[in-house]
Amino acid sequence: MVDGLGQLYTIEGVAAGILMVFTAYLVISSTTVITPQDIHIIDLQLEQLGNDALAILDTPDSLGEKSLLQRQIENDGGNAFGENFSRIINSKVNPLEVDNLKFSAILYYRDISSGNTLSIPINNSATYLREKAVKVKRWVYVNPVPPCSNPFGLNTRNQTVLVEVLLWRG
Amino acid sequence: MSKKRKLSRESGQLSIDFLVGFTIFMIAFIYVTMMMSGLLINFMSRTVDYDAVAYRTGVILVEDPGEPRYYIGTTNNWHLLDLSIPAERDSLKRLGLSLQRLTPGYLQQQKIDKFFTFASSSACSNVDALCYPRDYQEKLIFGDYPYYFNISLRYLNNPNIRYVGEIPPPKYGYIRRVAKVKQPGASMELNVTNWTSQNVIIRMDFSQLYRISNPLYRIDPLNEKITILLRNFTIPNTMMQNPPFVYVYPSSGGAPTPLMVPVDSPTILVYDSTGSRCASYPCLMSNSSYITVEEGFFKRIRFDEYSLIEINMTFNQPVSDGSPYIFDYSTASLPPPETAVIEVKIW
Repeated sequence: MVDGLGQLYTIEGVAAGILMVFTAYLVISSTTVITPQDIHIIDLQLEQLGNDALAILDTPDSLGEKSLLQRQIENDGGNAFGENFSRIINSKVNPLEVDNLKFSAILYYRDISSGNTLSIPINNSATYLREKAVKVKRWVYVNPVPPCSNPFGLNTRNQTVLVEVLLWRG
Repeated sequence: MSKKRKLSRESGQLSIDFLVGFTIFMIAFIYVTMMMSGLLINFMSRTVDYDAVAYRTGVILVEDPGEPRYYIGTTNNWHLLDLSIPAERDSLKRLGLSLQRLTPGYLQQQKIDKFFTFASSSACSNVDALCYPRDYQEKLIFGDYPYYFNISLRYLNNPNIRYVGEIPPPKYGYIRRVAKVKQPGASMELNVTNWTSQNVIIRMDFSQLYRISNPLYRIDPLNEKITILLRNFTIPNTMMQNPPFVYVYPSSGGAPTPLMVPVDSPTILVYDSTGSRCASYPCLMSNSSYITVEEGFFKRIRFDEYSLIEINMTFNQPVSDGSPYIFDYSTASLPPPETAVIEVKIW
């Protein structure tokens, strides 16, 4: 039994209970929860692909041979890097589909005469306009002595340079 | 509370107090739910974590060698298991494609071949194939739910797609990886021209072959097939007299012990002048003849990375100078690794 002051009638209690349970179920099962983990995963996909691409480019075809990335820095230049890197990051399993990832690559090296760390653009597939981007890096061992054309003007000696690539979705 | 707002005991109508209270409660509840999404993540796992599961699956595929995973030694890698034998199927714990745990991104072609060889779960118990979808769900994707999946692979220089799984719905978890795939099958060419001896001997010192630390460039007879190309026959009607013999040198030194090559696979196969497998001996040879040591043969006869062996072939004509051909990095070659793109879709 209930009185009339501040208490629910039985039918209201049952209705409210059902409504609350049903609404709670709806909220839990249908709300798209945007969590920091989700955003991290999307970044991570791009970062993983970029790291994979640099690793592939820096893997020689046979023992003792120079990798494609080494050859591009020592001799072939930024356009060769751009073509190969873009092909790797934009290739999908379906050969008829192509992704639309953009990149901008920079080479960091130490100038032995000044002792400073200098940078020089390698190649970019688009102008970076502050899109949401990730950065991937790889240390590359190079020795751009003649007859290498040394397109980036590195010191002609054994050295390790840093290739840094900014990646974003176009 | 006034008399007018007071409801009778028999009224089925909701009071305005209740509606206001309930509305406030619901707004607060939804707000708190949104704020505390991290705590409710378990309730949402089927819709939120597809990307995470796809990422994890991609990592296992590309960076893990699977289990069993012994790369050297006498224990088989998982791709050499005969899955038609229940005990060997039971020993398969995880489906990874990489060569070794310390070399992520370098995949093994034979593992890829085995990975994309499957039969439906209801008809796979007695065949040497993975069970679809059970093995993939239990030994690759894991997780509390039986996730649906589509895993596909293509070499960048090849339009052919290999895949396992169903057609994905419009929304799914996704990861794309790019990796190098080691192409198996080191090969060596023998010059079997007119000489002084009817015996051709190929010597393989496994300790020399396994001194290369990077598995991508390692000649790996314990896990991969070996091909010996027989070229430059100059004497007509040259025939191989008997199936090849394997001689094993004891690690303690001394004379080698002959070993009969088994008939059933994995074994040493000889291909005749037409490119067909020699069914009987003598077997006619030509410049298109070759022998293949099938993958898993050396592990079958319990060889390891320190073994020293010779493969001995006898012909009816003098085609060798009698000294052994050394199978090593100066005489044999590996095909260059291929670049492959792998996509994992989970829903």
